[in-house]
Amino acid sequence: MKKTIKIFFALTLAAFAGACTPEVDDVFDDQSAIRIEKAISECDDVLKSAPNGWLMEYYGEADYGGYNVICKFNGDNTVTVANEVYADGSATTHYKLEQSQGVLLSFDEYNKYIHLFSEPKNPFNVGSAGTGFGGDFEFRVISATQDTVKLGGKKHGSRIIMTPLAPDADWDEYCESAAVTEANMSWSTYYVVIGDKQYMLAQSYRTFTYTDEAGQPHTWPYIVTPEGIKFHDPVELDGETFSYFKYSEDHYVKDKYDQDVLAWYDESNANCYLTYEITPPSILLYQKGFYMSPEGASEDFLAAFEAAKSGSASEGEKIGYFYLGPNIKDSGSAFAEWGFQFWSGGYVGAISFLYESSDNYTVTLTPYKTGGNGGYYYNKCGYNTVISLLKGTFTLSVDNDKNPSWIRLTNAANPDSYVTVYANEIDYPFE
Amino acid sequence: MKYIKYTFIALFLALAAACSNDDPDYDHSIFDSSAPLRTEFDNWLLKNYTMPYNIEFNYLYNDKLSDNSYNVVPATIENSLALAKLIKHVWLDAYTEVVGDTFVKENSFRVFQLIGSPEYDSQASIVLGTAEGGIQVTLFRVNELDLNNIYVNQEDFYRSHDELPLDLNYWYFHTMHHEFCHILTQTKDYSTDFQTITPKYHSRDWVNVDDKGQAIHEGFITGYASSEYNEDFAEMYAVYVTSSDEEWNQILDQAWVAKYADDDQYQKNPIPVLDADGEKDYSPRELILAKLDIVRTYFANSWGIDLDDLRKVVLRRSNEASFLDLTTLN
Repeated sequence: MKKTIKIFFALTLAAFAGACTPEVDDVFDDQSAIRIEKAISECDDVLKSAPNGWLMEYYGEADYGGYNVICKFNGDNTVTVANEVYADGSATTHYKLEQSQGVLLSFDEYNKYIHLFSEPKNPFNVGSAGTGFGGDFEFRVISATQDTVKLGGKKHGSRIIMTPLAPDADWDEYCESAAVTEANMSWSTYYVVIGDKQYMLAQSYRTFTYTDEAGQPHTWPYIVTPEGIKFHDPVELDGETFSYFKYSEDHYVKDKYDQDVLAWYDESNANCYLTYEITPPSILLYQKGFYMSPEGASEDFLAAFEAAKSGSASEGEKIGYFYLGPNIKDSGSAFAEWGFQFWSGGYVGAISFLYESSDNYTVTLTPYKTGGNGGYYYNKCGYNTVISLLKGTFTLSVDNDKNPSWIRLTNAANPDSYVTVYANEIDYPFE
Repeated sequence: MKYIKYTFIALFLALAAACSNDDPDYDHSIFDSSAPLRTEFDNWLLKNYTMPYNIEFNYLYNDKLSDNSYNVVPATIENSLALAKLIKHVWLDAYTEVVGDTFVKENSFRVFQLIGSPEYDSQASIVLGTAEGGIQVTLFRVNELDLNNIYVNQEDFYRSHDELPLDLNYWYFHTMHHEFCHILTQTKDYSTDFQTITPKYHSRDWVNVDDKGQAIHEGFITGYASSEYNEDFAEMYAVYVTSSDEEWNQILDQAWVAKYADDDQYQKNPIPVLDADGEKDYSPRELILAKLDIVRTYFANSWGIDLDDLRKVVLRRSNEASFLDLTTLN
């Protein structure tokens, strides 16, 4: 009995002694500080390993799509950057790799080729002041191998992939051929065709938006390569998946106006292709939204804009946009019909128009009701002058028939009265 | 008794295991103690900011020292160099000249951070330079400096701030003097009499108080000064020290009692209140001058600084700004 107790006691004490030691097994074979230093230095080596630089598929805010940026990391903490937006030239500036929840790559000296996308206000008026493209210039390195570097934007979370550019590729030539492909694939109205079903797409910057039967919009950002349109993520539609529509001139189909149009197939799924229609301006103005601007407006329209601007200013407001088109994306059912829609100091409103088009280049507009705050601004803020000028029959002219970036409405009865509306969103047009 | 022996043996074992040391790995330090790679500009900053004044001048973007709620871009090196030279000549050396370098070393901001773009808020308005708790000052819009058009406004206090070329006084030097004043008054306090001169402050509503339309007529040197007495003190100091005689007289000339038409709800168009002889009432001017007097006394007694001497030096150095060579390091 004594022996049992003794052994029992000894075992308990031994167990106790074992439990009291503070040693814990290491999970990693090295300390974290050493591991991050190693990771940073390995990442730097990978970045410098591409002899002709990396092709960065750069995405800022998803609404604007992707842009080609090329960067070469040199040995002396500098990086040379070029992009397709600024057609030629490049700039060499400082970069750093440091620790910030993992390895952080930071372009910390101003370089217009990469910081264009982070400027709160960029020279192209993309985005609103304070956000611009919504792009990052500091990236968490998610993974880095000689074939691919995956980056995650630190502030906005954009996911960007870098692949080494072919050693003999010319930077300018790459960007130029992407531009040529984009021009060749540029139309005003697109469709994805799956089997015998056609899905109409709206395009804005480098995104396509498909609105399903429930009225739910799905936006697919893409980048343009010399070979075609490559989506940021594979898209699933009607049971099919596609990700890269390659440009070719091999397949023709007919559009709804019986014109010959090209069909561009996905590289890995022969069941779907991208095509377009050659939309007459009178239909385009009805289908797609256009933004008003004082540029390309006649004297009477300019005076009407001034009256509206003063009207809003008397409420202490700035006009965010003036828009002509179908239901603008953020508004409710009050804007369901085609018409004039506006944003002033946070308030939105609409004046709906009856829209009749007798031929491809003629429309007759008749205002007939207000929606949202439309009535208030019409009566109290001088918006009535703009509306009265939009009443009548107009001749439409465009900058090009394929994919107009603007449409000019010239009053048929009085050709000295005209206004130009733009496909790309224009914020604060009168500031 | 035997159990006590066993207990002690077990305890000894446990303690022995617990006491085993983890010595630091002296052979593998992650801290690189070799000198960092410094460019010519870095060496110039070391020589002109860090060594004499213990100031860290950051021109490269540093996310940890920036406000995450705004989207901004880094500054160009060319403009950073120019601004570093300007700040040294017009701001730092002014205080050194009048008070001495020990004063600057003890009281100045410790960190300067440059940012290339402005900070836009949601209403598309621009935020001025910011200063955090007397340690760091952040200066914006560095990339918009036109090195061929260096402009320090000495003629028109009420010139629009958005007009180009950017007025360096408004966008940089004024803010730095203002924030520096806060550092000093937090170290040594000033007379509470100051608060009694214009006791009705606007607090958060100061954003609606126009400099020329309203503030001056109530006895506040600027709209921001009307927010609360501490800001009033710092604004009095910063405005006086950076205003030429022409500007100062322009301000005092505006300091009459005003009334407003009924439809002037934003009080932008003041109408002078006239007395029986058709004369304007300049009592706001007396309030401004009384406050200035307290500022002057404070600086003389607490810091041994003659406010007018400092002003003369600041104005002289501001005028010299357009003649500085802002591109070479020397």
